[in-house]
Amino acid sequence: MKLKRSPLTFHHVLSTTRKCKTNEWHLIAKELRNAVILNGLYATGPVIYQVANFSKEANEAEYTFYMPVNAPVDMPENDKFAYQEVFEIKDGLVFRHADLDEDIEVSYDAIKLAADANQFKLQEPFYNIYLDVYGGGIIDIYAPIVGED
Amino acid sequence: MINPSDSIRFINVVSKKVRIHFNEMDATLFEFVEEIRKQKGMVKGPLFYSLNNVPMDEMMNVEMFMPVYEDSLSLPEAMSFHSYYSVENMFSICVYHDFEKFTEQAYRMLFEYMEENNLQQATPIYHVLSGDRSFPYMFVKIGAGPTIER
Repeated sequence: MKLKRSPLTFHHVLSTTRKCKTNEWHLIAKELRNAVILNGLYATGPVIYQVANFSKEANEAEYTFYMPVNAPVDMPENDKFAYQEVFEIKDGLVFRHADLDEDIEVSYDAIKLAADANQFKLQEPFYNIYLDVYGGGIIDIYAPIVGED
Repeated sequence: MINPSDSIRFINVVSKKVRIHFNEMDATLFEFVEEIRKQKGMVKGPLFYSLNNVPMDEMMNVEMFMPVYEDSLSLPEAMSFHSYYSVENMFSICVYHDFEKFTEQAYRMLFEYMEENNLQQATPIYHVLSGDRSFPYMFVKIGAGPTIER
């Protein structure tokens, strides 16, 4: 178990936020990936995502996907995709969720416990940084620190 | 031998874009590393770079990358810090002697491979410098896009 404190920085980040059923989020991720490729860009970092406003009754949540790309994007304002020249969070905790068969909430709780012990105020939803490894994946959870008591 | 499933994946990467004459390549890479050291960065390696144009007039658009040990660095305007840097869906080949001659041959083999496999080039060519002083070698890598159902 490894918990680190560090900033988080990416460049040229495209993102999209959508509400959908919890078994349909991959369609949003795919759409973002395809938009990147169709515009002659390519990803230069892992997919990062957030899940907010989960509703158990509707089996729905609000998903935001972020993808760093190789070059600046000149894009008119639109309601589908957003762009940030620099994506930066100055302070936060990183925790590696190595076994995807385990509930990610367990790792979330571990981070929250550590934050409580250090009197850090965290901002939710946390960022999940999906890293490919040997055909599978691990998730680095990034929890922004917004205050210290 | 071509490695059909490769990638570039590093954490804490410093990058810089430059436009240089191809004769200046080695000196520019050396300066880049020195600049990082000046910013109190501890270089971890490997050093890698992408060739972002076809150099018709011997001028090259290059982006250089160096993984470091620090989680963040304060850098001059021209340099960027990436907490994670990765390029997926790459294929690659290793060049380990007579770099000048075999790098060109490596490009040819990679482009032939793309054609034979109906792949579309999605990234510029990356050179990843590896090995050590006694045995330096270099991976030449290209990313290819998956086919998209339109």
